[in-house]
Amino acid sequence: MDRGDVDEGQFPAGLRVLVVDDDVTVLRVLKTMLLQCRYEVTTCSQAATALSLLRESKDTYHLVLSDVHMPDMDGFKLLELVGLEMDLPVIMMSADARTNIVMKGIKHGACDYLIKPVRMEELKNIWQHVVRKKWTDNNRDLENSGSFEEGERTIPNNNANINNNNNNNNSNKRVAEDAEYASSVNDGAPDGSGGWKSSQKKKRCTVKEEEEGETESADPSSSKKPRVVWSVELHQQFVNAVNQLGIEKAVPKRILELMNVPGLTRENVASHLQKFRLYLKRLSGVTQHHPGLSNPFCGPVSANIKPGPLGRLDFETLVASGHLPPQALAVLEEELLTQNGSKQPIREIAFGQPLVKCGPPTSLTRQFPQSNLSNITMNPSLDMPPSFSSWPSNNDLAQIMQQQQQQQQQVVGSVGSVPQPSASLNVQPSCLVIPSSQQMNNFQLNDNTILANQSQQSQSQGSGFQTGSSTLVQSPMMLPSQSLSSLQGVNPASQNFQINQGSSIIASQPSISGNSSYTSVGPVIDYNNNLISTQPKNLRFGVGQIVDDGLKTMTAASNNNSFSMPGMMSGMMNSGVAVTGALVSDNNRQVRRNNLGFVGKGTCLPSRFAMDEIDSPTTLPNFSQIGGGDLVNPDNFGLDGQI
Amino acid sequence: MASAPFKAQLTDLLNSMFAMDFLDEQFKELQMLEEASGPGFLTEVVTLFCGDAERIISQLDALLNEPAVDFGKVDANVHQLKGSSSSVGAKRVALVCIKFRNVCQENDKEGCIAALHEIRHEFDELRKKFQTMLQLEQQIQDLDSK
Repeated sequence: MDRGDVDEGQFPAGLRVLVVDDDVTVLRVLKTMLLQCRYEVTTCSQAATALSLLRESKDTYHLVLSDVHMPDMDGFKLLELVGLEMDLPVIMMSADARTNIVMKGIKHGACDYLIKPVRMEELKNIWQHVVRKKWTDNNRDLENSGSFEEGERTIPNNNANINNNNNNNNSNKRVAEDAEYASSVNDGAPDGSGGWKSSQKKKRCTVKEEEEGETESADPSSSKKPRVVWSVELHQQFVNAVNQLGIEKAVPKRILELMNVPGLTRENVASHLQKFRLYLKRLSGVTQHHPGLSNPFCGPVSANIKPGPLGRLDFETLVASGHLPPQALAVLEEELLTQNGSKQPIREIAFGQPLVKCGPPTSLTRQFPQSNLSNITMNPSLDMPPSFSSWPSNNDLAQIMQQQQQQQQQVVGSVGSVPQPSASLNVQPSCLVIPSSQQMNNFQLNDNTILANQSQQSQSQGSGFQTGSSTLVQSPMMLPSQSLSSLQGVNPASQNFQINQGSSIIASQPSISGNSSYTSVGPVIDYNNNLISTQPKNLRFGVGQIVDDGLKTMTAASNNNSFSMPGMMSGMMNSGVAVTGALVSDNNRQVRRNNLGFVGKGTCLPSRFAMDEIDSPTTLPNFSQIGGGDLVNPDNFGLDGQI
Repeated sequence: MASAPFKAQLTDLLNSMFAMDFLDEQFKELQMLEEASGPGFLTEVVTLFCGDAERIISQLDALLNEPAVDFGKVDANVHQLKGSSSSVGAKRVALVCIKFRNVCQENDKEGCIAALHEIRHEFDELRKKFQTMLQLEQQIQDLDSK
């Protein structure tokens, strides 16, 4: 359904809202209230269902209303996933009015946060968020892109007087800015852009001009904004450039030069960089505490990830979406599964921690050419870096995956029972943790990608891999192989399996293939941040989950070149699992190259989930590195910017 | 109208519930919704709430009877009950939930058990009143539709 479907004359009637809450009473009440507002309402009591509904048809809904506390998935995670994958406005609700929780919601990107009991008056205003967001996005895109065209349907804003009296979250400047012109917008004009164009002042004058030049979308009243589609490759190039320059020194102009992408403007890069920075910050902030925090990148790799319904896929989305070409996944999985050689226990991939000791590169060798553990690089150009071969856990992973397959899919948030407690998934930081069995099909752990823990990169020693790694991760899905290696493994004993919080892989998408049971991972990693604490060894969360989601995503992603994983890596802190690489490749089976240990953020395992011997996550010494420019520094992680 | 006495009774009942804080403003909102969206809404919501609350309370009971109480789960359940009760306008129940959460956060098992008793008590009271309310509504409807 086209968002432009909303009946213009009756706006905001017809707004399509998806409500997610595990409490049936609340659902019933909200549904009635929303119907009273003349919105179209769909309710679901499970986040997983909601996600699948959204994924099936991204344009069906205009807005999502979600509860914070849900048994199957943390509302914040859902929030992030939706924001990343579908770029829809999400309003959180909760009976919990504590400021810190509300703050968390806002930080995760909620357009608004309603305290239960929700009243009609509040619901009457929710449409403003939809319109505001569209306008903001439009503006931003206009400013930033110029070279890319993207049709964007917006809700016709005819006759909508936006009141700015709503208690919008002003968590970000954007909103505030929007509010500014939103309130002054008086759009009676058939040409929506004209209406608000006139009200533009200060900040948006350039946008205005650009608008004149915009091509109108099919719906004349919607403003069209050309958008840059940050595909996986593009994002990877961006990440590489940033890494090369160093996060501190990465300026749009230089990044643009390094990227050398025709048609890309400095503005595009600037806005992407800004998002990226926020993402990193969030990762580092998030990873510090609750592992369960949903990361923007936790987005599951959804099959439907396309450059956002709005055509805009910021890196987070990419990551989250874990777009991984299905083929890539398949390849990975294949490899993974075929490696049954070593029975090495899977080590958990500790993000940031020296990854498990990946054992001697034996297992991988068979599949990959020479494994150079130390060479786990995420180079895109790597064709499945040999180092991958050194990932001993492949076999284990495969096994795990298989096991996971048998397990139910919990997917959403909860890590299914890990089939084997002891089988820790050694996921090298860059390894792809493929939790779910089914997913595994798609998700192929590229040996290459996964880094062999062995890398000696002890230098990087994991520690830094956490969140900070997000920068590293940037490459969709890939953890710089080198970095990974460092992460990994430095410590053979470390079996930390850390799953990236952001692992998109994990994305709780239960719906995805349904296989994604994290189960393999074992511990329960549920999205509620309770994960990690449960089981020490298993890859649990990280791996399983990530994989799961990741797999899913990956599969789905097949052609998207979106980064699905970015998030994954970032979550390092807790997540440990870096599944990288796999996702990145383009549709083809490049996964191998990228592979990586996809560290899914999704599950954010508590840092402690590491396996018994794993070093405690807290030892991530270089967390700061990660967060800081260092991580990005290819030196540390061996990122060489190549996907 | 034959239903007049029942209506009067219902009004009295509701007034007293409001006065005693069994119900609050939120319930009034629901009443307005019922008027707008047609009969049956309130009945449905109240029924859903009662069923849900009963289930949660039983779960809480089970959780608190465990040798090692999982306060995290207890808290999650109480939180849910708080959300539902406040959405329905069940003020007293919601207030006790708040108290409950506080003791739960301190991992105070005794405190939790006591709070659970209180919730049980409040909920039972409320439920009886709701049942009366629903019966009266039903009777009114039956009579009015004749």
